[in-house]
Amino acid sequence: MFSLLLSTFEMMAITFLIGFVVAAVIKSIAICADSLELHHSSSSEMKAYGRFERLRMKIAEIMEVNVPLDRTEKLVRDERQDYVKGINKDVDEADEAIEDAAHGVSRGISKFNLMDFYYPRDTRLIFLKRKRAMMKKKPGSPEDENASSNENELK
Amino acid sequence: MENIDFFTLFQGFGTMAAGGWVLAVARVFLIALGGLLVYLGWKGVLEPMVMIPMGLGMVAINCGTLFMPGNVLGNLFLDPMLSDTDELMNMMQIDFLQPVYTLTFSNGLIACFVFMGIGTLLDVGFLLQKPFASIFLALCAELGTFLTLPIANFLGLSVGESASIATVGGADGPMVLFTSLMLAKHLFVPITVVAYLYLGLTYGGYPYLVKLLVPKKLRAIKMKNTKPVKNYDAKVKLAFAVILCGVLCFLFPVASPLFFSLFLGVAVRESGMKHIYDFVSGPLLYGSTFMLGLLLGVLCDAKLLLDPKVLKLLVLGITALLLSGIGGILGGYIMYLVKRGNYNPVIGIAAVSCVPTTAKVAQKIVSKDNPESFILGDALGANISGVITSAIITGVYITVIPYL
Repeated sequence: MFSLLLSTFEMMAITFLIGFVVAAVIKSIAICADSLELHHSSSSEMKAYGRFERLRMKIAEIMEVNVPLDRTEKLVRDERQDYVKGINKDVDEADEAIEDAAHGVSRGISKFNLMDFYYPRDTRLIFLKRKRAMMKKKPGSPEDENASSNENELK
Repeated sequence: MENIDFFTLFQGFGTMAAGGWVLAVARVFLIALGGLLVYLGWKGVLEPMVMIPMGLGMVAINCGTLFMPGNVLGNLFLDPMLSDTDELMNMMQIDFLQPVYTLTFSNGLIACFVFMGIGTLLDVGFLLQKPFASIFLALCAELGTFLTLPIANFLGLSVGESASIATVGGADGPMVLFTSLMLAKHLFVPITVVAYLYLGLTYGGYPYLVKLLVPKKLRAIKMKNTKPVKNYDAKVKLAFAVILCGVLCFLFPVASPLFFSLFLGVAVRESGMKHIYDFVSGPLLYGSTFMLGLLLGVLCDAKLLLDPKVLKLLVLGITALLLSGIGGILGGYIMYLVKRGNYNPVIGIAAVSCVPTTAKVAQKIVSKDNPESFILGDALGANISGVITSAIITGVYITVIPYL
């Protein structure tokens, strides 16, 4: 009788163990399903990002030809990558007086705007370069002067 | 004509007189019980799909007893105790239900068919949302299945017989049929009859148990969803069926026909095979359930049920179901404490895997106390887990019990 009671508890323990293993399997299926769903929902964004990356690489190649080497590095670098790595020019250029300030103290108004964070300088440069190329195709247009002035600003 | 007396002419009465008063009383009792089951099925108190054919079968088999060659008592329905193959082949040509019994009932095929049908009713999305809570409740609701085993053994049943009657606590008819066929074939008729009789009673009996153990304040709890409810895709549910079927069959090959049948039903539901789904969830499920009820009724021959162990089985069956109900509610209370009050303990009763009866019972009780409280999703999750844990316990019993 006692041995059967003991065996019953053992079988109970086995059942609980298997039950929780089954629950873990079900949970992992649910997690996989969720992550797959997330992946599919963002796949269009990922594709667009991929296209943008490829375009950026091509642009970088083109710019290496047209722009001097020292300037290329500066122009091609994607500032968002720097930001991810913790390099923030906005902060680096801040007043040295607040360098030793406690963590969380504001460093004042940023010189950057959202465009600086979301559209790296190289993208804007390419956009302006293309715009200029288009202007050149239409000589005598009133915008031609603006485009060249933009270019001068960038240089 | 003068040589033919009344008892020879009307063998129903003749067999009553020839069988002795005990058998006669038992037959009259079973005839009355059969009539009562038909009435209760018709009234909707018990499950009509099983109870009406079962009740009518009980009436017919106990009225239709006749003298067979050799002046032994018998019938023209079926003989469940045949084991000799020649005799069996002979009987299959005489008893009209013998082929159905031999080819579908005694090998567990009908249980698998019912399980396939149950599989098509299961929306595993509820289980995918809260697997740990659902499985935990279902494991708690198997308390009766575990505790009845030593109790039955203490009352004088063998370990195999004890395990078979203990599975009534899982409240899953096909499981009881399958386990008793595997572990106590000589008693599988009374055990299965007792199981189905009691399973019919859960719909009427469990609400009283819940009201007794859960105060009104807790029954009225309206749960707040902390996470948004997710609707899982059909392919996720299909993957669930395939992976879980593989895992469970791998763990318990002895119960693999049951796992396979259950998850095949789920796969059919989720794979979009409309015609197959219509067939499995309609004619196959209802046809199998009807034939199961009919065979169970026909098996309620007074001669077969006059086993002294039947009374013990009746007591143990109700004990198992009662303990499982209490275990489920205890699990509900544990979840209530774990979730710091944001859990309705009534869901625990739904973990007793009588799909989908106990889930409906839980929702009905809660709605009565708080019409704004909706627990059916969680209750169905626990309910489906109950089927899975019952199958796991069947696997554990069939694998371990022969070694004890």
